[in-house]
Parts: sequence; structure tokens; C-alpha cells
Amino acid sequence: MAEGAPAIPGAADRLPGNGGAGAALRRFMSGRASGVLLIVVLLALWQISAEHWVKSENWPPLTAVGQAFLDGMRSGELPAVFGSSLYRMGIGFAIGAALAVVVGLLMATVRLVHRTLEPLVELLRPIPIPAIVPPLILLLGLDDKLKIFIVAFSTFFPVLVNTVQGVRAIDPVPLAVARTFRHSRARTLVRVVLPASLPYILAGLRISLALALIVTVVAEMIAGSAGIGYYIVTMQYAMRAPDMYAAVFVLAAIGYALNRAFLAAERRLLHWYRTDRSA
Amino acid sequence: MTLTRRRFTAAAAAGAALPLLATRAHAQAVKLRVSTIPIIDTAGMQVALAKGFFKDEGLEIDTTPTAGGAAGLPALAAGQVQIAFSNIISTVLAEKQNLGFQIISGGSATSDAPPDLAGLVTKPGAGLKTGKDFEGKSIAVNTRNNIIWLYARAWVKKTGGDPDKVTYLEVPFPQMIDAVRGGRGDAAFVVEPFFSAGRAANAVELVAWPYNSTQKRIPVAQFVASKAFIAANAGTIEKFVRAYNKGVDWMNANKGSDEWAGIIAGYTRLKPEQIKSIGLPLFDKTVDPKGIDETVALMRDHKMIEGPVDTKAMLYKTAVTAVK
Repeated sequence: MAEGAPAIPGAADRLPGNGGAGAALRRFMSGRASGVLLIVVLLALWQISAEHWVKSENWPPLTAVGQAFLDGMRSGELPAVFGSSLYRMGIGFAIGAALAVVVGLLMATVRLVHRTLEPLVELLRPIPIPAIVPPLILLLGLDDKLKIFIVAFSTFFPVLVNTVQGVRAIDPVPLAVARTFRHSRARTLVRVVLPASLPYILAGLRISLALALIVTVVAEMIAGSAGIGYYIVTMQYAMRAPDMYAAVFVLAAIGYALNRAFLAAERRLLHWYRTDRSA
Repeated sequence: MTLTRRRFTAAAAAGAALPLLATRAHAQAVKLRVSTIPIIDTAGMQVALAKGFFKDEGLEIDTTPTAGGAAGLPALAAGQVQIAFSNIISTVLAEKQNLGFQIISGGSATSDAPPDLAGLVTKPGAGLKTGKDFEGKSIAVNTRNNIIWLYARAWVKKTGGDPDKVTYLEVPFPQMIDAVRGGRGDAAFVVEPFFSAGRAANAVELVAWPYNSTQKRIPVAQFVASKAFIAANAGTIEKFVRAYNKGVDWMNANKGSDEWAGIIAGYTRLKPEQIKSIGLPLFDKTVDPKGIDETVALMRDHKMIEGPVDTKAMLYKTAVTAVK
């Protein structure tokens, strides 16, 4: 249900449809046009405000941001900056997510593991990463290791919590069937438990994906010498607000693209889940 | 035994590489990791890098710039870097905690007379002139309990005000001018290049030079290493400081030139024309212990530290007499 679909399914269909204007309105309401229109209006407001109302080095007109974006892409600096961040983020995300699924399955199926880990998980989960960066520097240094750990740490908890929830929410019938057929524990885990809890796990992964991008940038802002976060801070201190906003825009676009890509992957993985539900 | 083509190529390549390896081993460069901040204060080091002065000394410098420099001393304590660029307040606080650091060379200092590299500004026509006027008002500082905050307080006290009756707002330097312009703070103690930009735009009015009216030639920041590393690598430290000093000499001789502005623009990302128009710190090769004493006295006065500090012990010999 995480699609970018209209909030009320079928709402558009219920609009009075008499003639061309009605049809156009209906198309407008059901498509993405209204969302795009809002963004365009906000951007126009930005341009006008920067030109006429707000006088500040920190509020450049959009045209200047666009120019900075083009310059950054042409020189190859922006792609390099984003590449290095996405690389670290990807590794951290993969490690954190894989660990979380394994630990989550264990916690949900072995009571002792759950009892042992649960208090620790609940204590660690709310810690804001910037608060523990100085001790982490002590242990992990300033390089990729530090940032990858931070991303993995942040990715871990949403996926873990969702995995545990997902396993708990499994319909008891298939489990009983597996028992009747005397499937081994491992086989049941892989063939029944894992697929059945996949919708929950994927929801956790999607939360973590957005979080991973944010945390990567924050870590680079605090202790970075490369990547988007460092670039944004450097440009801020160099009084180059257009370059800073260009990076922020690319960041937003990448966040959006990652989410869309994830949704597409999710749809393919969970085709059975959706048809199940609508049946 | 028959050699496959790939093996043969590999063997040939290895053979070809051997003499190369041998010469490398002969004149092996010593690697140093240095924590820096991408601000104009570290220009001496960047010049030494750009002009190859470190290489001439057989040093290979790997810089890890951190914005704001918050990671410098923790990284030094952890041994992640061998040398860190640190401001004097942080270094003194580290000394009080017995972290075992020593200053190995000078860095940046404020000037002997105005203009300074930072000034106290208000909205034009705000009418706030002395520390007394600021009682009940607010001053934006980048962080509390550090150098800007300390000298803002010192200036308030010196000009007849009670520093405890002033509110100190934490505002990052890039946003300070906006904060004053938008009335979110009554004043800001703001550094270059934001200071010059704000004045050029007539957004703010200069009230005072808190640095200069409190203390001349404040030793703002220096290069620091751990005593253990210095003891084990005295020769390397001397080489580093010698190359750094060469960088400082070159910079002081070429200040304002296009090459100089280009080097600074390269790592700060400031625009070259901007660099030529802003107030600069002094780039010192050595540190006068008396300057640190004065700063330490202020820190004590404003309750940042208690008890004495042996400032002479904080200075390694290369920071006292310039390495030739």
C-alpha cells in the first residue's frame, strides 16, 4: 500500500464526469499532475522571493542553482561526490540489512535469543548517531569504516523490528502444514517463514533506505573529508550557496529515485502478496 | 614447465618492477596523516603541499579535512592522525585533561591592529556600542565555550558590561549575518569571509573588534601532535615543521598573488577574487608562550578552566624556535 497512488482509492472516479472539463479534471486528479504542479509553484515562488523579497547570500535564485548544477555536472565533481557517498551508503545498508534479517529471524523464532537481545536493542535503537560520533572516531577512525558502520547501525534497527513483527504476524496455518509434512526447522524458516514475513521486511528496508541516505550525509558533515555531506558544508563555508543547493537538489532526486526503484523491486518480489490481498 | 602467456606477462612485469621497488625502498617517504580544517588559517600547510615542500623533506602528507574541526583532537587522541590543526582553546582544554598533546608549530594568529579577521556586528543603526549596552541583549557565537564565545565575553566585560547578562546564541558562521539581519540576534561575532560579505552588502554595521581590543596577536590555532609520537619521531616532526615553515614564508612573500589565491581557492572553495578582499590572519611559525598565557588567563577568568596551566610545557621546541 506504499505506492504513490491517490490517498482514497477510486475517489477520482466518483467525480461528476460531464464533458471535456470534467474529464480533464478527472485526469488531473488521478495522475501525478497535481503533485508536479505544486512543486512547480513552490519553485517559482523560490525564484521570485530570491529576486525580489529575500536579500541574503544564503538564498540564491534558482537560476543560479541551475547554473551551479550544470557546472558541477560538467566538471564531473558532483557525480564524483555523489558516487563516493552512495558507495559508502550501499555497503553500510547491505551489511546492516543482512544482519538485521538474520538476527530478526533468530529473535522471532528462538525465545532465548529474544529475551537476551531485546533490552539491548531497545536501548540502542533511540541513540542519535551524531551523539556517538566522537567515541566512534576513537574506535573506527575517520575513514570509510566509520561511515559504513554508522549507516549499517542506522539501517539495522528498522529492519530488525520489522522482521520480528513480520514473523510474529505469520498465518499459523502454513506453519501447521509445514509441521504436518515434517519439514525441518531450517526448511520451514527458508520456505515458509521468510517469504511470509517478506512484506514486513521490505517495509523495514524501505524505511532504512531513506534513513541510510540521511545518515550518510550527516556523518560526512560531522567527520567527512569526501561525499555529499562534506561538499554541502564546504560550499556553505565558502559562501557558495548555489553549489550547496545544487547538491541538495541532487540529493532529493536520488532519494526519490531510490524509493521508486525500491517500490518497483518490491512489486516484483511481492506480486503474490498483492494478488492475494485483492482476491 | 610451459609458461602460459598470462604467467609470462606477470613474471615479466614483476621483473620490470623490481628495480623500481628497490629505488622506492631506498628513499621511502614517511607517511603522515594530518587533520585539517578547510579554512584560510591552514593556508601555510596547503601552500607547502602545493609547492612540494613536504615532498622535498621526504614526507607524504595525507590530509583529512573536517569541516569545523570537531574531529581533529579526538582523531589525534585515537592515533588516527599524527598531527592535527587545533585551536588554542581546545588544545588548552586537552592539556587540562592530560591528553598528552604538544604544539609543534605556529598556525594562525589575530593581527596586531585592526582590521581583524572577525568583528562584532549589529543591524545598521542598532545603537549598541559598549558591553554595557549589550546587557539583556544577545550575541551570536559559533559555539559556546570556545574562542569566539570567550573573546565576546571578554569584550563585554572590558567595555563595562556584565558578560553573564548577555545571551550567547549558537549560530553557525554562514548563517550569522542572516540571523542579525532577520532580528533573530542583536549582534554576531562573525569571522571572514562572512564578515566582509555582510559589510559589503550593508546588511550589518561594525561595532567593535573584540579580538584586538582584548588582546593583540592572539595565537588562534596551531599544529598539535601527541607527546608519544613526537618522542618516537622527533626527526619526522622536525621535517614536517621545516616544510610547513617554508610554506608560511612563501605565503607571506606571495600574499595577494594569483598563485596564492589559487591555492587557497583550491581547498577552501572560496572564489579567488573574494580571497583577495578579506581580512587575513597572521601566519606564524612559532608561538609566543606569553600569548597563550593571556588566553589561559581569560579562560580562567570566564570559568572555562580552574588552576594553573604550564604553557611552556605545552610547546615542543619546534614551536618555540623556528626550524631552519
